[in-house]
Amino acid sequence: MSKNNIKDIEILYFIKSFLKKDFPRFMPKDFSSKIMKKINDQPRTTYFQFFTRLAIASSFAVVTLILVQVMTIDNYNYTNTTISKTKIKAPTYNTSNQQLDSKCKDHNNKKADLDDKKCE
Amino acid sequence: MNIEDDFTLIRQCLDGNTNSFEIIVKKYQLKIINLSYKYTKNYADAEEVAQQSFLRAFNSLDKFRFESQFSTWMHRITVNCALNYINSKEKMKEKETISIDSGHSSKQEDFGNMEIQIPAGVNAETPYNHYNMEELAGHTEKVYNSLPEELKLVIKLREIENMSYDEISLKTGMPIGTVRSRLHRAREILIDSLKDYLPDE
Repeated sequence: MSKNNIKDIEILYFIKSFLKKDFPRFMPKDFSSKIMKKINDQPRTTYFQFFTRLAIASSFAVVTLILVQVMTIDNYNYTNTTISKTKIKAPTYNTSNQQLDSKCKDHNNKKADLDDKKCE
Repeated sequence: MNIEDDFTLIRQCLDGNTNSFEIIVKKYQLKIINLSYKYTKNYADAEEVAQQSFLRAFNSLDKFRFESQFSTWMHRITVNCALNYINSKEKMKEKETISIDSGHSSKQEDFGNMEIQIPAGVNAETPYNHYNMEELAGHTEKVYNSLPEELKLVIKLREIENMSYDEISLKTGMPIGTVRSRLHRAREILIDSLKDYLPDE
């Protein structure tokens, strides 16, 4: 559309507003050009930018995955041998009981008739 | 211009033709500034809100569903922008009050954009780089009143009462072709009369 046509559209809409008595008291002369300037100054996402961002994001994801894998797998040591439970057969005894036993023996020797229940 | 025209312009914008949006801006700028003014009560702020509204509309054109009229959608965006603007301005005022109360007066530059308030008086001078719309409206009214009756009738039915060509044809008993040609002629006279007042930017 040519510049003249756009200007005609603008004037036509001015006329419509005037006839309907629905218009502001003041109107900036360069209102639409200011807006168009702002729109054209806005950064646009081109295909190149889009694919660059996609490549950066996917490479970052791959590196993160590799790092996570490396850091977690090293904590485990796998083996082919079967794990068998072994019973601990070391002799155990209650040392405090042993001491008590010996005391009781002495006690029995000296006072065999006293307090048998304690030594049982 | 009817709804289809807006839809075509929006589709063109979505296809990357940003210039189509300029036509949309030119079509709705007066309505949007006027609507913004109803909320802001200040022309400098109304301009700011209107600019924000158009920018927001442009950036979210892909969300427009083509189910309602563009003007309705635009109206809603403007109201939201105006309310946000008023809220943020009130917050700034509160901050200013607090800082003054606590002995730290804020710098004048922080509120520089609010300094350009246009006086609300009837006899206020037209600000630089602005159209005095009342003057233009007065001129248009004179030209409209001087139009031949048959042209005046057609333009009244079309532009004020928003009738379609068919409806005008039915109401006036004129063939659609005659309605079109008379409307074209009336518009041409009115547009030509305003061209001297609205020079190219």
